[in-house]
Amino acid sequence: MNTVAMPEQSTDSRAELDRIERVAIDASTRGPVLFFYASAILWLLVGTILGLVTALKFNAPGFLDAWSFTTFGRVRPAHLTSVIYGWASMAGIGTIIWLMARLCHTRLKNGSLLIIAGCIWNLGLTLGILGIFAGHGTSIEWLELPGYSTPLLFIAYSFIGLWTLLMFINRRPGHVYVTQWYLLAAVLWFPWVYGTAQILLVAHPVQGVVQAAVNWWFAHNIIGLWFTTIGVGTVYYMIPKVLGKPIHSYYLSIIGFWTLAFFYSWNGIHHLIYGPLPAWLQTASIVASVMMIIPVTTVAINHHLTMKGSFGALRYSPTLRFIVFGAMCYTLVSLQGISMAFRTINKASHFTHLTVAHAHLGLYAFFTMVMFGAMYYIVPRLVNWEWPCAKLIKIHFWTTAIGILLMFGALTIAGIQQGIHMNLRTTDFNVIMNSTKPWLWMRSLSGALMMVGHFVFAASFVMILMRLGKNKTTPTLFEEPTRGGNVL
Amino acid sequence: MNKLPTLLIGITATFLFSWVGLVMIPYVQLGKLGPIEDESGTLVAVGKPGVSSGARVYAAQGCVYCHTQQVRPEHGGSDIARGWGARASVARDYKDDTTVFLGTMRTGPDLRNVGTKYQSITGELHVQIYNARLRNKSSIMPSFRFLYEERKIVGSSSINALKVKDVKTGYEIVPTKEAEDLVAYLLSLNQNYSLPEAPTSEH
Amino acid sequence: MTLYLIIILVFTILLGGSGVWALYWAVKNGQMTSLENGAKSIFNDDEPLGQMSDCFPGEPKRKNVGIIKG
Repeated sequence: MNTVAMPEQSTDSRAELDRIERVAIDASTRGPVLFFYASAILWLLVGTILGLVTALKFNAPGFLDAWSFTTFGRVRPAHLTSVIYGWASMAGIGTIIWLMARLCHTRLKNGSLLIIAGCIWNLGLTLGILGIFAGHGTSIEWLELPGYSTPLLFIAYSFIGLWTLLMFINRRPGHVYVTQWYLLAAVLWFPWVYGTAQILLVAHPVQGVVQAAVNWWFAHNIIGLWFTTIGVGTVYYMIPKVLGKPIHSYYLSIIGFWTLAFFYSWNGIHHLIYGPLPAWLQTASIVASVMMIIPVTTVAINHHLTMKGSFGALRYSPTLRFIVFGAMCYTLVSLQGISMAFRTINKASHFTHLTVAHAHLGLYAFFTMVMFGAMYYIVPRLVNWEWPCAKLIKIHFWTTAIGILLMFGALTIAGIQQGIHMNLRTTDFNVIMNSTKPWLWMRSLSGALMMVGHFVFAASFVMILMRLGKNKTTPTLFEEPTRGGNVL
Repeated sequence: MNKLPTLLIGITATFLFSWVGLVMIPYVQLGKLGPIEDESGTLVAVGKPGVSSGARVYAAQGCVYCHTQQVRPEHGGSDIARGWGARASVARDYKDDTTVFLGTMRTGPDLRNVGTKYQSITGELHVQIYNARLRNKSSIMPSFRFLYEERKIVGSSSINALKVKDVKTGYEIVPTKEAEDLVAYLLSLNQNYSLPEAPTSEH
Repeated sequence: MTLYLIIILVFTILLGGSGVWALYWAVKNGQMTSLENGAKSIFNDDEPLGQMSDCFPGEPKRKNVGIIKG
């Protein structure tokens, strides 16, 4: 497939100019992105260990239960906070910075200020999580950080938001790519959502069940307007960029974006079905949840048709493996979520392990895997070196992919059993609990498998930063294509 | 799609739309519920003073991550059939709760009416919190013995001493203030009053 | 109760209307034409169409497997 016929020399010199510009833009983001990525990976390790401890407490309730600061009710929110605001958000921010710079064709100026912002974010998180261990957690889901750490997060975020906005305003004239809409929206929506929740739930709490309404409007919007937007935006860039093939239907992506914006934020109350809230509110959220079929299917169709005919490329690109796995799980988790919003199903599925399964399918199988893919693409371009060892990458992929699918499977089976017996029948509570125990052991095992993958990834990251690797004069990623290579 | 103004308007508008629907309107509709009177003139669903410190202990231990506090109506689940409440929970039930602990997970049972269950056996509630596995071997509820104190018996044993076996001779287990507050809070959890929007089944 | 309904209605009309207006403006302003160029805007001469831009370490970058023909 040849493009317009041009004289050889001119194409080469244009290519060279493009390359110089691309390298310069990447280099300008080096400090901040690597800082956010390094922090994110550290939080991933911390969060994974906390997650494993939490899981083991289901299997052995006496595990670490002698002290107040390691009680389940504190370790669990500490796990959640470190993976959501530590790993996931910082990986997301690093990716936003790099993608915005690339797509706006602007160099990031004064990146050192963003590194300071990252330090402030880390400080706020550390303070807050230590506070949770000390018993200062708010017990408000997804908003567990004690009030004293939030101002630090806001200060840090204001830099990030401002820099992203400035890059967008100073963009090179021309097309605004779909990823840019998603990221710009994410950056603007996040502080608004978090800020509203912080005011109405922590600083000046509203009365009674309005708290619940605000809580779940907030929590669901963190998922939909912060993580989904970053994740989907990243996939929209990575799949075509890795393949060298444009998105199948740009028109569909516009529809997908606006319907997501319109419907997603109304979903929140589907967490409170049959709860002490007005029926109209629950129904509105159920309707909005069903309408999500539109953005979810447009995204799925778009990504699938872009990949169609090129699935063989999964053998050759680590980025693509993680990204495509993540993109497929986005479709799956969305369809699962939509199904759980129906009253009939929710009656059985509410308050069970199914919700935990859903949360991990979304935040991990979709978002985390997409972030891994993005990091595999971006880090070499910042360090100008290649990942040290293909084997480590493959171990990372298979442990995490199998791990999360096992976790999802185990929790789904446990959840269905729990749901039928606890919510639809009056089976003895003890009997229900005992029937979930083997599946909860499997969940802990799968978590341990994923932990292996995370440590392997952290090792790769350290090695590439130190420019270790097989003896080569130059990394092959930055060379002209030659023969060779093996699969899997 | 290439202009910042379009994007900003769209991003703001779609967001404001949900904020109005899910935050503002519920606030207006439900944010200022007051108690109501029944036929005899007595106020029902009055606020419960003195339990907010117990609620803080509840929050600090993260009880909400295993226990819910909402009874669903009969058509919404078997909560009532299980004996977790005589009627469904409604918005007015929560109007005086400083933090509303509706909860999303039932690793353990719903607690909205746990006050009724333990009203006459407060000591049992302490044992349950001290170490649930003493009352039920297969329970996976963690022990909260750090809320209790093992101390030497001076004179005769305290009336607050927990009735548990396997205590060191000459020692007793007593609740700390935190445990007392927590139990006071839990004992206040009941829906033993009816409201026009949720009559109990006797009516 | 009617006050809330009026508020809801007004906001719905305002917000929904702004969405409709934005869409109308976008079409009129030519935002919806030349969408193909948008999709291709992430490629250039340095990282052209048809060339994969990622590979495992130690392996070559390949030409796209199964790119659309013609």
